[in-house]
Amino acid sequence: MFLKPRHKRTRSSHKRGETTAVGSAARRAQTRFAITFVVVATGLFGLYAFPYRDAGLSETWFQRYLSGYARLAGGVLALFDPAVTVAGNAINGRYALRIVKTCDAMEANLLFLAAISAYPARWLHKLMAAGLGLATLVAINVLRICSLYFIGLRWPARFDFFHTELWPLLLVATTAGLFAVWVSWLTRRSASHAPAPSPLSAIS
Amino acid sequence: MVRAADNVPNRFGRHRAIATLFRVWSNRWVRLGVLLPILLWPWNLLGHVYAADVGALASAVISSTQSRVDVQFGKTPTSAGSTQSTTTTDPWQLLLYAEDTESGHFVNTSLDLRRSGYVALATFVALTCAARLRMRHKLFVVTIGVPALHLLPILPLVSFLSGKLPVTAFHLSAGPQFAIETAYRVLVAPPGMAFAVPALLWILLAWWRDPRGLRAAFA
Repeated sequence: MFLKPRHKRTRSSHKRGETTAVGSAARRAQTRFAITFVVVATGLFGLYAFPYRDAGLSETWFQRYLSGYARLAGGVLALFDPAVTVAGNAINGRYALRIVKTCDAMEANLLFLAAISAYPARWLHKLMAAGLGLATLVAINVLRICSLYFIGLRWPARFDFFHTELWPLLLVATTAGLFAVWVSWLTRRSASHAPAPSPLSAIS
Repeated sequence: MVRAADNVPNRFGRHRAIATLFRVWSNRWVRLGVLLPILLWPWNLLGHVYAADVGALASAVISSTQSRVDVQFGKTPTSAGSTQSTTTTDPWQLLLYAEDTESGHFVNTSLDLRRSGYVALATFVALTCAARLRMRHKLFVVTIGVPALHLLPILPLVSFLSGKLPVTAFHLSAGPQFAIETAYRVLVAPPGMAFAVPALLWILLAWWRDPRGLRAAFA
């Protein structure tokens, strides 16, 4: 997951100096990644968590988005339990769920987006990763909501544990895993396209 | 290839088992997989200790504002003007009683300590213990990370006691109030951030101190 520096080294540098140059270049690349990640994540989270007015346009739009999420999860749940109906952002049935802000796993989505935007890669690859990654995360979150319905139905005492601890851990771990898979794919791809193995691969 | 475990005396197979156990334990992911559930388990004693700790910190923060609000943690009122300790069934819920001494308004609520800070702290400690870092490096990470994460439960308290509830202990201007509210909504409210915040903080601190050491920590 370490980043390759973009600058070229001089051929005449001896081994020790070379290692130092590579190390500092890698550190610069990592610093650039860390700063970009923090800036993009702060911007995205700021937009998401901004205390908008309750009756404002953004909140109206957000409620529609949550209703859409509820319809999606409710549609999947209805395949297994015909008693399930959806009204607004509420899923009703033998157990009732309400999809509110933070139920949409937005933190995982935003962290993933910030990480891929900060990583040095072609925009096409970033867009592909964003599309596939977000689709995977949404699918997992729908699975989470469906599982919580049945957990609430069968083991209501365990609902909080699954809702606030186990599933969030799995979502964050999946997000990190998706990013690692993408970076690994990029690294393999660039290695197979490179004419000769670069000394910089020692730190990548 | 001769493995270390093959050289261990093996009269009853016990030494080999211990060596295997040590080899398995030396895997950082195994250590994390064992330590995280242990630290995340809702131990009652740990809950009481953490609640007392957060209560003391919150009291110190609130008393520093010199507001006319009387705030007590772990207590609930029995009659006007008197309070008593209560034994809650869940030690991970910090009871909060706040009363505006001038207007007489009061709030009696509780704070979920696991969601607001403990899960993040436990994740951070588990990561630090599981990772293969030098002791000095670990101390650096813990010295900065643990106090920073210890402040997380203060965010919801400040957020709710700065105008959302009938009792206002923190009189903040628009800028700081916006910052606190946004920080609370980003860092504490989403359940996933209880794991993402400590993981990112840990990576940042471990990398800051030693970039190559970070790679080795979970390689």
